[in-house]
Amino acid sequence: MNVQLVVPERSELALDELLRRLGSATPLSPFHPELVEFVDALSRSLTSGRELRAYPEIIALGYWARRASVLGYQRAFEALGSEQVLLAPRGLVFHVPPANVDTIFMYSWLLSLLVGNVNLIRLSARESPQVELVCSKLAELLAEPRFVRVKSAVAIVRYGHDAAITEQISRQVDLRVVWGGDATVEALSAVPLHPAARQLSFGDKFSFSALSAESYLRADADLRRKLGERFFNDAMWFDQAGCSSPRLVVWCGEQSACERASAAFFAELESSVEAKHHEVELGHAMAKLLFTYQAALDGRIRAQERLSNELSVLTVDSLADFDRAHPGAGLFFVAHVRSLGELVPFVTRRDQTLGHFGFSRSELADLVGKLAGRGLDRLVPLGQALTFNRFWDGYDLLQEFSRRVYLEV
Amino acid sequence: MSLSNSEPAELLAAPPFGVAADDKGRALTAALNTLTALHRERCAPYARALSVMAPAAARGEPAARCEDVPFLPVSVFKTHQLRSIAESDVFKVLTSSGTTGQVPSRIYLDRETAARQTKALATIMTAVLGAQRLPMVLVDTKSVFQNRQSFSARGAGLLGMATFGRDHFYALDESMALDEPGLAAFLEKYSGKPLLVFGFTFMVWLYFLEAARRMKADLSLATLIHSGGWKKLADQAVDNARFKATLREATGLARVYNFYGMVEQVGSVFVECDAGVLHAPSFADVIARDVRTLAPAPFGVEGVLQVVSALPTSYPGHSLLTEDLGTVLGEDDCSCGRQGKYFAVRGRVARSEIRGCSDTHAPSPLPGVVSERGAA
Repeated sequence: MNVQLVVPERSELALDELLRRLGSATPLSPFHPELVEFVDALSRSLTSGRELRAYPEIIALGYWARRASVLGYQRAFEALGSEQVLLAPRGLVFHVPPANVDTIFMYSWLLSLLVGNVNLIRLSARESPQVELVCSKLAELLAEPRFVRVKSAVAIVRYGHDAAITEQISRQVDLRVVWGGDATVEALSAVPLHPAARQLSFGDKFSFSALSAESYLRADADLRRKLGERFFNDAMWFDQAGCSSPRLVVWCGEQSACERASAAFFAELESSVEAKHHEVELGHAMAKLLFTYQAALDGRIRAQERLSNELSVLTVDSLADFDRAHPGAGLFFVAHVRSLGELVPFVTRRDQTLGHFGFSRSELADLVGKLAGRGLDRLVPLGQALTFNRFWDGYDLLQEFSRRVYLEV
Repeated sequence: MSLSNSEPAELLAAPPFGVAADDKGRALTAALNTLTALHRERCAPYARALSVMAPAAARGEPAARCEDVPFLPVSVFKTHQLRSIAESDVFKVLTSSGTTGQVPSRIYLDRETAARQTKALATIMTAVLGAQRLPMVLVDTKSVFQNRQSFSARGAGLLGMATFGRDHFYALDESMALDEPGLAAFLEKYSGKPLLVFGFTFMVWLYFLEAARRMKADLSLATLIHSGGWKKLADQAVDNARFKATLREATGLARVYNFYGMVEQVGSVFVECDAGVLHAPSFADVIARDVRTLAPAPFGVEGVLQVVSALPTSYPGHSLLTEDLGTVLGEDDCSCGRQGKYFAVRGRVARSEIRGCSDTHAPSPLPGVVSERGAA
């Protein structure tokens, strides 16, 4: 059984040989200087270079991986331990990113690398320019002698629909990280792991934003413009198909205030779309149009406005029957509630990120309390929906990627 | 000739390519407005869609021009059962024969709409082929009729076209191989006589052309009508010009007319003329819409094609936005002498892939677009 190795170098390799290589990797302690150096060098490499301009999501990844942020993670990691609890890597981690990945999967395996794990990443067979670019940057860096130990701790591979390969890998790893839709998670979960190993699952998610109409209407022109730009970044990257991409905007307040705020807000968003020369492919625009008509035929929406190929706004009367179906690529449902508390019956386990504007911490904490863990894993200010950090889908990834070793003297 | 009445029958009675733009625009707009009102009254989902997508039409305000008549995207017939007649009045259900796994469109016809469909096709074919029925070769297999549960677009297309010929010869066997002895005998029998050949574009290209070349079939007196779209041939870079040139060189076939239409719209029968462009008949029309704004595009500018037809009363399919790209080239002034708009179809809007975290729940943007564009 062979796999295509993509990183650290491109070659075809027997699976046994690959697993043997990874098994004999020299372990590096969590946040070992060579690891920190490597991620820093990767950050530099992903934030400079002409070819990256077309991919703001790669630049964002590079920015996230900068030294200051890595050192922040190091401090946070150290704080997880104590006199009696020492943190150790889990060992060999198998990452299965989704079929059409861009860069989201990079964040999780870089964290896993930083805490000292050896990482085997399986890319889907489909290639994308973003993934190829990131992989070539990785390969370039790993070829440098100073990263020889990091090199032995990373393998990015591709292989076809070969269940036997997945099975053999799964038997030998300590942790399996599965991204993708519920179907992928279910399919992978059926493949046995070593009894001592475990799995982190990132299934289907839905994300939305909530704004206080009153606060928005009080905002001056400058803040409104900024909010438009922030929401653009939240929603328009990844074709609005990221797990954290907002697809619904909930306005809180009096109905007429909500209507005025919403109209102004989406006009700002359209301005951002134009200013950034953001364009969606005709196929996406047609898919959204079809989706809109289907929703209208069903009576699921009360009104719609197509501001451009890039931006459609569909108003629903109530969230009671809202089914979360969504075509991506710049379509927003809009709903109105009088207060945040009205969201409680609406939220389900699938709901991941709430982007918020105009609420106090206590209002948001109150919502979290009322939900009692039923849904919403992240509540972040508008503009931060896609900003990855260690807390994701209810996990603390720094913790999940490491073992707690108890030491009593 | 001038038209005044907005009844479908009136438009159908007019010469298909003999109504000037002003008269046609007036009559067709009136007919389409009548249909919008009729379907709004009789098809609840359609009325709901109008109230959201076209509030003015939902209030009963008539469109001033054909371009202003609200449309439905053609693929809604794959997900929604839309009809404006009682279930007991359904006479025939047309389905698009999509590829495996694709949801087909379902189009509900009553007797009147079905009759109009037959009439429309006859009107156009008579204009193209003349009134005389010619000996006919069908580039297909009889086995396509084995499942009579529903009319697939392919089966319906064959049956519909078969009425314009006589002494039918089905040229392919079940394995899609050319029945060479059968064809040789047929050509021998009608040697020196004009013939009619009909088939789906991809089948003519994939299963007929080379075999006919090998057996040196002489089709120089034949007329080929073909339809079904270029999607399956796009991989081989086969376009209309190459298709025609290759057929001519291989078999002598010189009169080759493409036929554009879709099972989802009764009455949209657009046939190529000797100048090589498609023509809209008096009871139907085509509008290209700007790919960014969806506003009507000027002649000569490519857009997403919308088709309108005065004929469907049994289901709300009188105005449909297709998933095809094409260019309206002009109106009333084609060198072939026909009146009405003439246009060219370039192909399907490319599917766009949604990237993202989830590989399963992002729906494919254009579900089930592989409907056979059959001569229904």
